[in-house]
Amino acid sequence: MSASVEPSVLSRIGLSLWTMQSTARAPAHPVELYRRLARDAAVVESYGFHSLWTGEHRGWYDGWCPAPIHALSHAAAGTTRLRFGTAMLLLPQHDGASVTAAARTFDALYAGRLELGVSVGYRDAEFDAVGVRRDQRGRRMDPALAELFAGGVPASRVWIGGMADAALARAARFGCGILLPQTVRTRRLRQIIDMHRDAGGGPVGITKDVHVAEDATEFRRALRAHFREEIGSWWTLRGQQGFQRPGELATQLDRVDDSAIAGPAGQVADLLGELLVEGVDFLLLRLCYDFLAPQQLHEQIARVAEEVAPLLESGGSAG
Amino acid sequence: MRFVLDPPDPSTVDDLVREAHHAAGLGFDAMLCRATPTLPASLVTAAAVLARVPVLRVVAEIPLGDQHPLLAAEEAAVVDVAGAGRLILLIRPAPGVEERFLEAATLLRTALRARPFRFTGEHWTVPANLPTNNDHEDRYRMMPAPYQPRMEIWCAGVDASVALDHGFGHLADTGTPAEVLADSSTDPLRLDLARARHDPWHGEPDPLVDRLRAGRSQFGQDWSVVRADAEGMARIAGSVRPRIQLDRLPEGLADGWADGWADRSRQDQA
Repeated sequence: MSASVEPSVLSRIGLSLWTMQSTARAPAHPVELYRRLARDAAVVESYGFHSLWTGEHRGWYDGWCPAPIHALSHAAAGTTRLRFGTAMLLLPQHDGASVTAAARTFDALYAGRLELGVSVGYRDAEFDAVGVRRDQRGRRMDPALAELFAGGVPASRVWIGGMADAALARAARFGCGILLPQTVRTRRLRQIIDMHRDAGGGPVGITKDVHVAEDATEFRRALRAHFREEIGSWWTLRGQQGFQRPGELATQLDRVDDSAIAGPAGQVADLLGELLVEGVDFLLLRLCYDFLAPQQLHEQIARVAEEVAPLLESGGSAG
Repeated sequence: MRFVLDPPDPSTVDDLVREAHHAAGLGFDAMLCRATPTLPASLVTAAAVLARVPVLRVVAEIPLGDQHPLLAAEEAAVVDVAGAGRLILLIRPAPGVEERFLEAATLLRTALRARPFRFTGEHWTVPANLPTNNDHEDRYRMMPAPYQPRMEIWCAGVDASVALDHGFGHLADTGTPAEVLADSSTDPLRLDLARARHDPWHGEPDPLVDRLRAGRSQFGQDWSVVRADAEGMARIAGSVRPRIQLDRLPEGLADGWADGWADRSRQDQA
């Protein structure tokens, strides 16, 4: 199962996004979902990837994991080297002292293997559940970050999620990395990287939806259905919930589709390689979705490690 | 009587897991995880222990009243699901905000009930329905639900009567006078609630057996939290627990039990 050669490019690739969702389209037992996270972590480590990442949302019907560091603490127990990340921990919804304690505990248990991705969050219902004003989310970020750093969490392992000017400025101000979303366009990517470097920010990472397949039609169909649920339920499009704006919803799904990298290994390698040429330091590849069966996910992990990574390493595609 | 190991302060997670494995191997029911300067988030620690020790329950002690209780509930639920229902949550008033504890505990348990709810309290309201937030909901549902049908929650740092009156199990700290814990109530709901106590262990089984018999008689003690090393655990497993499970053993049955387990303990350490 393990790759016989471990290209160095794998040290710049993390895999995501384990959410432990039991969705209507892909129901699963919650205990089994957390067991899969642990099993998948061992698989990801065996191939030599940099890291495995989970996310955070709360109060959703499918059990989207609301406590990512706690979930990762369970999963990391079967690993020795793999790093674990949060993409993203919704910092303004938390008490800074609690997040600091959780991060420090994880690092003490697992020899500093936490990559703490944080962002401001966006769902009103989540803010309201914990009694926080959504319009103050930005103002809550800086004090919370300061508390993290004062508590011993190094800025070098904190990633600010987002691409808004405020997020970029925050990352530069604190010397953190920036973790960009899937839909950043290439021209904007170069601008961001240049600004971030000039301002003294940390590494630049980018999330991408990725799938290796000779025919990615079925994947793209499933990806649209997956994000339709999320965008339709959670996003406000032109003042209304996404499902109430079918035209705008379709536009957003087109953006997701367009930004996804799905196709044969050579094509995937070429597109990921372009990101590295543009100056991206870290690739966070989303391979894990509720609609992929465990065996399908493991196949994707293997294909990225054994087919895509060598092509990235050599700087060429298969043809 | 069920037994919870209170391990000597571990310096590494491997130490903690080693203690947990040893306890599980000897039939201890649970291990206590509390905050330490090195490991300040006991639920994060609990998640790690539950992952590596498949049969043991973990009693995770958390302060309650400082962070939003809904967040504490979520963390506990995730750890319980990951651990397949083996978490016991031990809540203690957070220092400096003790007056919030009972409201926090009530909100925590409400959230862990796995159904939509509305909670209105002096310190917290869920959902808050803040005017500046959109998409107001009447009720909130915490997800995921704990794997246990009903999360086992104990209180410490409050009077037993307060804990029991609010429907929580109770853990008495070492040295709590028996008369404070004495409870003659026959309320079946109260009898369902855990009555635990930190019990001192000085290496000799007889005093602990006597203390546990008295505890069971005086306040219905059914859990004992003991701090013990490997040999101590073996003596408790081999010479205390067998003698306390029934009210009375046939005369002569317990003769020689202590020697046998001492031998086993020496073999395990060899």
